[in-house]
Amino acid sequence: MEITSLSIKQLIAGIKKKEFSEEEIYRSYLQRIKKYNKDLNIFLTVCDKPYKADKPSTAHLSGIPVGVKDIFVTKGLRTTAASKVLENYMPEYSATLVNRILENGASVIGKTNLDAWAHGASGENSDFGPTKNPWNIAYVPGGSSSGSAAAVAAGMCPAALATDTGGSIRLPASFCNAVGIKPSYGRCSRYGVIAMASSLDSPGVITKTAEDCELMFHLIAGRDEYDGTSVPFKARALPKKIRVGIPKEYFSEGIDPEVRRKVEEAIRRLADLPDVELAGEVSLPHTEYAVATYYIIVPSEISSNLARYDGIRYGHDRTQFGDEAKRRIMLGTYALSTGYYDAYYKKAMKVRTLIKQDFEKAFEKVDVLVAPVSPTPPFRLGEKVNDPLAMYMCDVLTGPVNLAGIPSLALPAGFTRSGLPIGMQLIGPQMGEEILFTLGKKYQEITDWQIRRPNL
Amino acid sequence: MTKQTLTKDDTKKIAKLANLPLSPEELEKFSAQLSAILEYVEQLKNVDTSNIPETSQVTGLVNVTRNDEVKIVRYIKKGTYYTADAVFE
Repeated sequence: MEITSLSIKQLIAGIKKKEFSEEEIYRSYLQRIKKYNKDLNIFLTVCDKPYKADKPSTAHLSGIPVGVKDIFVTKGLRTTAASKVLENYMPEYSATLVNRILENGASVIGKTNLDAWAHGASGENSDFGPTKNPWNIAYVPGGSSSGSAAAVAAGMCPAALATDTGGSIRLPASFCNAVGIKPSYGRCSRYGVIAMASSLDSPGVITKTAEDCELMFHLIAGRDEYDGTSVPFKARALPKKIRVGIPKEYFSEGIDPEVRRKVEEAIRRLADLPDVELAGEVSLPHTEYAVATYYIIVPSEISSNLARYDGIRYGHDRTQFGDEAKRRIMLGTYALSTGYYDAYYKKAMKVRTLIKQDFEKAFEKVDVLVAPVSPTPPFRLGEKVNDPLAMYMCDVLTGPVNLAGIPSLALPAGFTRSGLPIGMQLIGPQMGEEILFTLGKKYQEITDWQIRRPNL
Repeated sequence: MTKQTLTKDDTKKIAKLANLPLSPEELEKFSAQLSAILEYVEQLKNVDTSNIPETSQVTGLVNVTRNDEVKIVRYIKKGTYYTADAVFE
């Protein structure tokens, strides 16, 4: 039995039965990182010794090594956002989510690669080189949480913290055959997460199974007094029967036929489950405007958030920004400038209302929406790097969820004929994560995509 | 290519506002790329948003406050941050 192929639940059970020790677990993952990281470029910083709390307050995650997207600040552990601007930045404190896993006994095994500042859908915008997809190194692992998803898929850690502003947890999870939760906005604290678009940034976690994802989620979620936008709301109650809806705009002509087929097959499996009812098609009519809305609002917030990187307080000066950061800063600066504010930013905020209302109306009729995560399977490295707009279109099925602030769980749904992963997402109403995990766990009881591992 | 939304001069002005030093090659490249993106987002003009309020946040929380208490644990310990010799005695 290979320790690095086990789920968190299996690791915890194994420690309890004394099949292996916490030290053995750490050593196994570390060995695997040392062996494969050079080829896959997943970790930017590796902790040779576990980075953990002296006296954790619980042992829920005792002995579990966790990867952390290098956009969460970690006290005394280099944090770069995968940007040259911060290549030597040493934080003075840790993000709330990092503290939460440490307080529960977990350790940080390293900081994972990403598109610089979390700007991107492929991982290729990292200033430290792209992460490779463990299923086929000629392909992208998806972004922006490229390293976090690839680390879990490659058996370098059983879970990794990540963030999702327009699909950055779900896209790489789906490209790497992993599970990822993009929580409701405000359910997981943003404190200590290097800000991208503050009204959309949703920190979460990537794991191998829905069961692990639920376990991790409940340990990291909850109100944080250091994040004024974190919510004190209660989780939504579980319905007796889960009504599943199919958003017709997410299965349009532009979706790759293989992706569509696999997700439709998954929907048939879901419909067969006990206490699940297929409620048929629903419409989210403003879906087609989501990418345009997203790429006004997000760059606007980015131009403001990245204004602080001028080399005085943090890292290097503004000459060190990569192309994508420059593009987004300029787009946002333009959209917010006098004379253009109403036509771009204000207009986009209004369309955002319509997109949010689409979902609210849909959730009057159904409990969960099932859709593909990405319109295409993983694509080749380099395929879209010179066409920013083509790259932005990767967010077409994930961005609307962020604009509405609702949760979505990405799950493996099969493979293409050439052996590349395909993912689906279960989208729920605000504070509806528990419904998504319940359905996701049921689905994984009758499928085995989640236990397949890439040959490295 | 048809007319670009952004000329090189426009891009130069935006870059100045954003405090981004750009090379002449970058000005050229970004003018074209940003124009393509701006042309794409033009489609929002087709959406009727009369009487639609703006959404700038999704949770509906208002006036979030906390007690103004000093938290010693959040202090940065002396010796871990940069200090300079006194300039004026």
